[in-house]
Amino acid sequence: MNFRTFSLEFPRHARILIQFWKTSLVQAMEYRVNFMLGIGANAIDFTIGLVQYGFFFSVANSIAGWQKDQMLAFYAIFMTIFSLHFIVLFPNLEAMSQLVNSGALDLVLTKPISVQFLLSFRKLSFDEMGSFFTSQVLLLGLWATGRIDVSAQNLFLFFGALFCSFSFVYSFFLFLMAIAIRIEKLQNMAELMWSFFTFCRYPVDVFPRWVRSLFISLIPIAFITTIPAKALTVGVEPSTVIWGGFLAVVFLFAARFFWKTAIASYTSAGG
Amino acid sequence: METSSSIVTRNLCRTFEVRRKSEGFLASLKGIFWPRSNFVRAVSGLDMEIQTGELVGFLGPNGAGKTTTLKMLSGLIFPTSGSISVLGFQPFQRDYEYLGRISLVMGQKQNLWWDLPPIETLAIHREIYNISQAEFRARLDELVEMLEIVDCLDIQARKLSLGQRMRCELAVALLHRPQILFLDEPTIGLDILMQKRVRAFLLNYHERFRPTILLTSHYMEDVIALVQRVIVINRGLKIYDGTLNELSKAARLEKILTVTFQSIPEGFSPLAFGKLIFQEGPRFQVKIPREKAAETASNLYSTGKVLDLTLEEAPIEEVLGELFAS
Amino acid sequence: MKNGLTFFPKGVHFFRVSMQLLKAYWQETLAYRGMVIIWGIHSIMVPFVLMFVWLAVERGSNSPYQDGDYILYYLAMPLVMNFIDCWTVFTFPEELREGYFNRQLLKPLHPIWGHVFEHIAAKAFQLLCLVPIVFSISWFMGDYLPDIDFSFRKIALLFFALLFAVVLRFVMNTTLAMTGFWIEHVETLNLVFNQAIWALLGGMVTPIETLPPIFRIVTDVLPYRYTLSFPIEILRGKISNGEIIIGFVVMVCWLFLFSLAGRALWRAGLRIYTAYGG
Repeated sequence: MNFRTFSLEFPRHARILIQFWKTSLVQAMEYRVNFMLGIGANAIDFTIGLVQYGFFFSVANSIAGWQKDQMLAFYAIFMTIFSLHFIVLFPNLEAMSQLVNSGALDLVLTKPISVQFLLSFRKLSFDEMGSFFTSQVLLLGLWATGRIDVSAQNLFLFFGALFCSFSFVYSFFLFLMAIAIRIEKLQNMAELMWSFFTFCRYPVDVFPRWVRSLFISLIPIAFITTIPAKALTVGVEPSTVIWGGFLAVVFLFAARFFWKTAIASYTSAGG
Repeated sequence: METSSSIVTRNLCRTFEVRRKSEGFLASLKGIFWPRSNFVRAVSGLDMEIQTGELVGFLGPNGAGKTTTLKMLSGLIFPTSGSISVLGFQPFQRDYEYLGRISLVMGQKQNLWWDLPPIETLAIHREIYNISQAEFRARLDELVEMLEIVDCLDIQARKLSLGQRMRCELAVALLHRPQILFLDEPTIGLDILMQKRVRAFLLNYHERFRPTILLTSHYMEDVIALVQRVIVINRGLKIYDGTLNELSKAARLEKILTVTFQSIPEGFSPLAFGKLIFQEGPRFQVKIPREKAAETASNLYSTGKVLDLTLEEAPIEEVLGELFAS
Repeated sequence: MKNGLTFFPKGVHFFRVSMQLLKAYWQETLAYRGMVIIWGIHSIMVPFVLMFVWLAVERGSNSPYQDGDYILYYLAMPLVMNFIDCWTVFTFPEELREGYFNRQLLKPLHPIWGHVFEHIAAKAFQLLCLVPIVFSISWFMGDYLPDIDFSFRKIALLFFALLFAVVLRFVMNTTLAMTGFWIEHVETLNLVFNQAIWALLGGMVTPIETLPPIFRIVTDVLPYRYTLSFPIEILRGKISNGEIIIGFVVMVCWLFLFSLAGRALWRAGLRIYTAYGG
């Protein structure tokens, strides 16, 4: 797609996206009790996650050099990214295998719209709003009470790192979406996504040195939570964030390529 | 309206790789590591040409390659070899402009969002096909009236009956007023009354907007009621292309003669003419060779004892059965 | 029992039915092996990461666990999790929603058996994949692992602890699943009562034996510890005989309570279901 068609298609796709999200909200409202319950349960889940750290620090003094307040900030940032993935991406990944198995993907492919765009973002799940907002409150609380001290440069690097983080999560998501097209009988790609997040739930500093350098250099696990959290609490080298940005672009292109070949193989193999 | 070709395929072929499933425990374990596969020709060397505004039926037994062809025409799968041109586009390039002009309806797959009322799905399609609000209202009103779905729009799709859902599917598929409409088993699973309504709608719609329609169906009534021209394929090969009436001639099938006597003439034996289908008192139904039909009829009349005599073409199912068997 | 649904079917040779079901579910498991393997990967990842977390923790001087203990604990965990894993809380409500449950009710066999055999088949397959992985890791880490003796007594205890844990977890989850007769999305309840609290009080995040006494009061009374941590504690062998006995008693109590609750919910739910239709 060249720039001209992109600038023509972008507004239309944005309008379609808004319509989709409106529809998702309508759908959520069909089960209003469930909607409220989901958000409530989610906030409880978040709180239990916090209690976990209480347990941790009842036994431990620090985790790989991370003090209690820094760990709380880490948790808040992890939950921000994790819950955003749950809100925007997860429901689409979950719906994907159904779409492939029922053959409804055929009908999607006959629509004049970017299939990647449509399948990545058409559904929203509101349950995790509970976690998202609670983690924002936690982060603001930590900042307001002076437990974390944020300079302008750190904030800037933090947002840069956060942007890399989103890109990596999306690349991984797209990669799994592509696998869901290729392998029909895989209905729980979402669990692979969770396994991936399991690595991001704690600072990469807990791993042995060689694993850690692998997570920074090639497999960008460190950039999902550790680098953003570090940027906010103690600061990171700008070069680290620049490297992350470079990797993010590479990963996005790779995932896009993988997705395209999956769609191409679907259209060549579909029965 | 000018007539020109909307759909042209030349020597269209499509081969599939099919994994073989194995029975038994050890064999199934083995299949995990060493999958074996076969190649199946779904479509081989299909040539066809469909004029703009034509309504063509696509017939064939299960596995004949109908759906595969429809999928190739709508850009879902690409051909192994051969060429397709639909409205001057190559479907598998999935050009948005092309996709905006076609629509695919599959009786067994749905566009509607399961948990939502159809009006929401329609609203999404309005955005996807970039239809202005005014145009959307006008088209929707028209479709709602033609399909009689005014009560269905605000009910969750999963709560609709199959017939209601299918008509809503049609509304979604036709909202952007496609120039080409691919219908794959649109009446499958519907009761006879609902089949009739869908058929009536399709005829009416075709009359009004003249889209090019390519239809597959298992129900002969659909074909007889809707199309003038049929293309019959079997095992990926085209075996007939022409009008429905000519089809039975092409099959060289016997005609069916039904005769009722006042009293059965001396020495009359139905077996002398052809194959007896049934006898019920003085009423006989016999299959007779096409070329002898006229002669036999006049001979019977000459006995002077005939109360009623009809000569009919064999039913289309049988014609097709004969075609596929050969 | 009413409704013609007897627990052990009369007139049907139960053993043969079981074998047939087991065979069918084994084949289904193989067909969905991708999913099962993914689940296996996931269940190995969580303990694996937690192990590294604990190895990196700067511990207080009075911690009862050393590095080797943590490694042992989190290596044994995937195996235990494989045994006790139970997903009726997802499949049963789905059956109700999608209407498959009607089909189950038509069969002259209690619907629970289908779930039981499905679990057995899937776990057997998962175990086939897990055991080589876990054992090769423990072989690599052999130097760090504490010495464990495998007396007959310990193996027997381990067997029964696991068996009770499997049954208890199955009954707990299935009881929760029964609320699906009334609630549309049981998953939400499951998230709180089963996943989150279980991870916390079952010993997933923090080994129970390292918790301060104040928390132990809670963990030892609730059923969660017994479905995860307890068998590993027996394997490690630092648990006293008295504690083991108390553990089994608590387990039996919970088993009894949940069975009663589950049965009551099942009967009431079935009455509602058959009254209003699926």
